[in-house]
Amino acid sequence: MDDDRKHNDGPLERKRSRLEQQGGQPGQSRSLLGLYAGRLAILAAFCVVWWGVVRIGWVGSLFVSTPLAVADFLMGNFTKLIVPNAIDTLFATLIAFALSGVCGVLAGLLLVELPGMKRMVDPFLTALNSMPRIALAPIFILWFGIELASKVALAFSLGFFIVLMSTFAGIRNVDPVLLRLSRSLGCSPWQQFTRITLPWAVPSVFSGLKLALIYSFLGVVTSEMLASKLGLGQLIMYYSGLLRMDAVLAILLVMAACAVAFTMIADRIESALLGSWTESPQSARG
Amino acid sequence: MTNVPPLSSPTREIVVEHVTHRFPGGLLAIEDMSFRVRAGEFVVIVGPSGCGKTTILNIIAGLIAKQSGAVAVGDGAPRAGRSDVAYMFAQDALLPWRRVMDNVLFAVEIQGASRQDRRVLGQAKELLAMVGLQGFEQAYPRQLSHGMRQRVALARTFLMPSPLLLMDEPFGALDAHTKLMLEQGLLRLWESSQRTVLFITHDLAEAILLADRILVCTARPGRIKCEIEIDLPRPRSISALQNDARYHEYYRRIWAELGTEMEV
Repeated sequence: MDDDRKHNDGPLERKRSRLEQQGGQPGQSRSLLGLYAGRLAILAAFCVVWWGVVRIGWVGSLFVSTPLAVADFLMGNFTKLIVPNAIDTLFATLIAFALSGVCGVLAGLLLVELPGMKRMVDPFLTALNSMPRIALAPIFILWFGIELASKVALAFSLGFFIVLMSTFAGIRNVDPVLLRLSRSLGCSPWQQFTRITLPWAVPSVFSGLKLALIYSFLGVVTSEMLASKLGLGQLIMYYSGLLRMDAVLAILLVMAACAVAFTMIADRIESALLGSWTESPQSARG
Repeated sequence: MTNVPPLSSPTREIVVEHVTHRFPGGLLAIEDMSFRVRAGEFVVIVGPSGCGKTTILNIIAGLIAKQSGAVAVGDGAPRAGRSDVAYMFAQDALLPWRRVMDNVLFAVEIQGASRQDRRVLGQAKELLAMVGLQGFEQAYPRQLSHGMRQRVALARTFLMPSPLLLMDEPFGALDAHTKLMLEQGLLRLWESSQRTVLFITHDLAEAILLADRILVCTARPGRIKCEIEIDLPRPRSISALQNDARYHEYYRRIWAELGTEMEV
């Protein structure tokens, strides 16, 4: 077969296809460099335009501050103010994410195993999930106070449903031909679950987890903005009350950096764990 | 070919008598179908699409319950998961997260073989070599072409020591060249063991190349219209058959039988 030659699975070949998977194009390192240079250029152009519109006087610096003032604030307050608050926010995010992940997966599995119960609780799940979470925040603050617990509760109320739904969907859409194989081989229900259904659902669960991580972060920040002692959300509220746009924008920048970092780490983990069998052949072949 | 897995029990026959099957919607899929597959025989069912070929195979495999008539597989009733029956589908049904070797081992693993068993591993390797996939043991299914994936499925099926083999258009979705290769591969595997095979196809050339006997099925509702013994010497090869006048005579006969069933 002519395509047989492409799949010489020696160590060298594997290394090459690994590289190709990451960049997707021949001429690897050069195109990767171009990619980062391009991103940097976009950022630089944005800052120049920002600086320009304030300089010309189209927009007052009171409203949008200036790139320099934002950088100044970041430098001056990074270790004493931003880092401790960011740690508090990230810590709450990770706790909420872990709880959402464990509870969401378990609840998803339970609902698949007990279709009767799924039918019974379905309207309640929909109702809870479609509730505007920000409306729950005051309740959680009343119940759990203005420290860690109320932030985690709000973030969990977002992340849990995301993981639950993706777990459920992943298990329910198993390829029917695999179930036919399982039946014809006489798999026991446990064998079918552990050898076919569960691995099949893993990519779907994983994309749910990735989404839940970002939403946990949003939930924590939202809760902090309403009432909190510490955290990036609380800082934003404080400085916007003082009309300190340089500080507000600096903190937003830190949050954006956190979100990007989360996504990149999650993508890396996903690619390392599942990439070998889920990535499309095109991207693998380059 | 000394290392091909020995069969788990002596080959048995399949008897189907007066089977009628109606789908839940009321559609009559099979009406009064009767035939017999003798031990060690290679029988091919051909028929127009929608004639209930897959349905009768599913009944024999125990995947759907028979409604009326009698079906015997060996000395028992059909039941899903019997270790003496192997079933191969038109789709490869490979597990995407398992490497080629692990996919080949999957069926025997479910039936209780150990992954550490040297003998089983050796047989799996040999089967992969026989279907032309030497060196691909560690590849993932997504890295393989359609034809290669179906060859993995063929190796998985033949690693099972089941004396009865049900094949539901296993090469139906492949290109002509790959198909010929796999048919030759199947013949070699079959000649080296003593399996009973019931094979479904709508490809007449494939049917004549493989079969001891061909059952022609009517359009829906499916019935066996006639059966034709294929008296061609084995081992067969498609190129040798091309020069054999009897091959073309069989082709004409079956085509004539089928033609009246298919309004082209």
